[in-house]
Amino acid sequence: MSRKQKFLAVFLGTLVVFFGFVVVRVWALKPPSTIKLTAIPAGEYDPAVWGKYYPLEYQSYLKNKETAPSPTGYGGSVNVQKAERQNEIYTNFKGNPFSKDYTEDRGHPYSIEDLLHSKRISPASKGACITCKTPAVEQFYNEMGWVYANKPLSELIEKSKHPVSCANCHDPANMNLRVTQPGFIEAMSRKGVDVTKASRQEMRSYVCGQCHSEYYFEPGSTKVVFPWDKGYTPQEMYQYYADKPNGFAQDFIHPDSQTPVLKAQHPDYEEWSNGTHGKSGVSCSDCHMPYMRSSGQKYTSHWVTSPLKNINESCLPCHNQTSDQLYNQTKAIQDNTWQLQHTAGLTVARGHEAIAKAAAVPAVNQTELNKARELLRQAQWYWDYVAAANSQGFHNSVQELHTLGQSIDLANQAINAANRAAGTNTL
Amino acid sequence: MILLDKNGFWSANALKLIFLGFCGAVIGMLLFGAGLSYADKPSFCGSCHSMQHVYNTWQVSSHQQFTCGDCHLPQDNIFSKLYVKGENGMRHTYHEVLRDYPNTIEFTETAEQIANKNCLRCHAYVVKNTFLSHGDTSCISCHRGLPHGRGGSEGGVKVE
Repeated sequence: MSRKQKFLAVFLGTLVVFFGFVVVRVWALKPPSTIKLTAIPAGEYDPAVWGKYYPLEYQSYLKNKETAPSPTGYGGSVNVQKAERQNEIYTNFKGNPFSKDYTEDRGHPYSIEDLLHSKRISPASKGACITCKTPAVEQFYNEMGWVYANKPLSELIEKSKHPVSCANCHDPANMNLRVTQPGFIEAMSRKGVDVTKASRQEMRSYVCGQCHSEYYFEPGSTKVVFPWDKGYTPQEMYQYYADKPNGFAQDFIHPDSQTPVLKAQHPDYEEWSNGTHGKSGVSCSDCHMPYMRSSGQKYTSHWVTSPLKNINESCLPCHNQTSDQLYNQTKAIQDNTWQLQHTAGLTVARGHEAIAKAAAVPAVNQTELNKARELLRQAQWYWDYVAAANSQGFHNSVQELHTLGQSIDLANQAINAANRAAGTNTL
Repeated sequence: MILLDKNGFWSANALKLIFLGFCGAVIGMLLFGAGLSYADKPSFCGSCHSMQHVYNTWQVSSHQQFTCGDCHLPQDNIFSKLYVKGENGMRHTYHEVLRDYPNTIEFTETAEQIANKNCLRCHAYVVKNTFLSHGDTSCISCHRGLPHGRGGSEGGVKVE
């Protein structure tokens, strides 16, 4: 072969290899669009075992171990004390364990560890506390029904080897979504919803709502009950509590003001359900567990986190504004909600002080004073409904701002009533 | 090369050469035309993994009688059309091979301008008495679900 022929042969060979590679990579061997089903034995709660067969999902689940502030600075997964920013927490939860230890929550893999280290837990704590901390709750409920809720927490924690993970939300036999939290299933059935007949899109929110919701422990049995019978808004839930459901009157009595206080617990599902996204049929998972791609293969992210960390995957499938615009809009909603929330919290704290001072006046008008307590109970519930939730107002900004406005007004009314009861300006 | 060695070659083979050149040109044009017409088909665009979603949504849209290029390539002249097609094709192939395309594919500014001009190719009469006819406002900023829908329609990861 002459030099020219050799050159030509090498040139043509390179072309064939290059375009051959492109053709194979783009058309012949496409990235897979399905996952092979591997059934996991029932009762297998170790996420690492599931992860062997669902590696992309498991790798993204492990990212829940990351601790970082949220992109806007509200919430996040670093376990700092909330009271560092909201001093009013010490006053408003005085006499309740929440004044001792109330941190930002970390990701699912820490659920057991953080429960063990929480100062809110004592040797007297009941098994009900394990309900949303481990997939083993399925086993506890199957074995003993609600009796588990009344057992000592220490006994159940020993049997709970794994934190919130795959089996909480997935049927091991076919990977379909399922809910395992008995309190949620009962609450939905009281609303006429059979969760076993729910659509896939509904399940994509139910699996989150089974735990990210407001609840109380039924006196006596310590059963977990969701206060949803009248609706999801703070007003409807307050109405529900006003009837002392199952004999439940309050979470604690404030030692200074003697106000029977309701402690709100992360009503994220409730906020969302009446918000724009909830009303439009956008599920929790659509934003918090978006579809991601890894080497072209689509999978559901199991890194349950702020959608602002994945705006392209979480927001842009529906919104066609720029990422910056969407981030700024969210930040503005959260800034506004935060300001009113802090004002409401401080006003409620002043309410406790005013009532305590009025109660110390010898000739205090008890009827007025009890009115003040009722007003303050409502004000604190409205403040806490927003403050205890994780979205800093984003899930339903109109409702949250309205609720905080009401809270501030009610707290001021409580202060006025306390002043009237005392016949003098208490503060 | 060899052909140029003899001076008499050209005069002796002139007709043959003209014929060969002609045939070569015809075959070349046929190949080019066939390639272009093949690559103009939506099924070709949809054969890329990253285009699956837009291809599926287009098939059931009110614009299914048009090809991808009708909207996404400039139609003012063949040269700008071929230029954009070639540039896009190379860029898309690059990312398709690397498989690093994002989950949600967004319009670049140029791409939006091109598509917008193509809306007006058919729909100009609708807006001719309004400021929209100036062409500096994008039709797509409101009609964003056309024709590819607005997400959520593709469903999840299938387990088999």
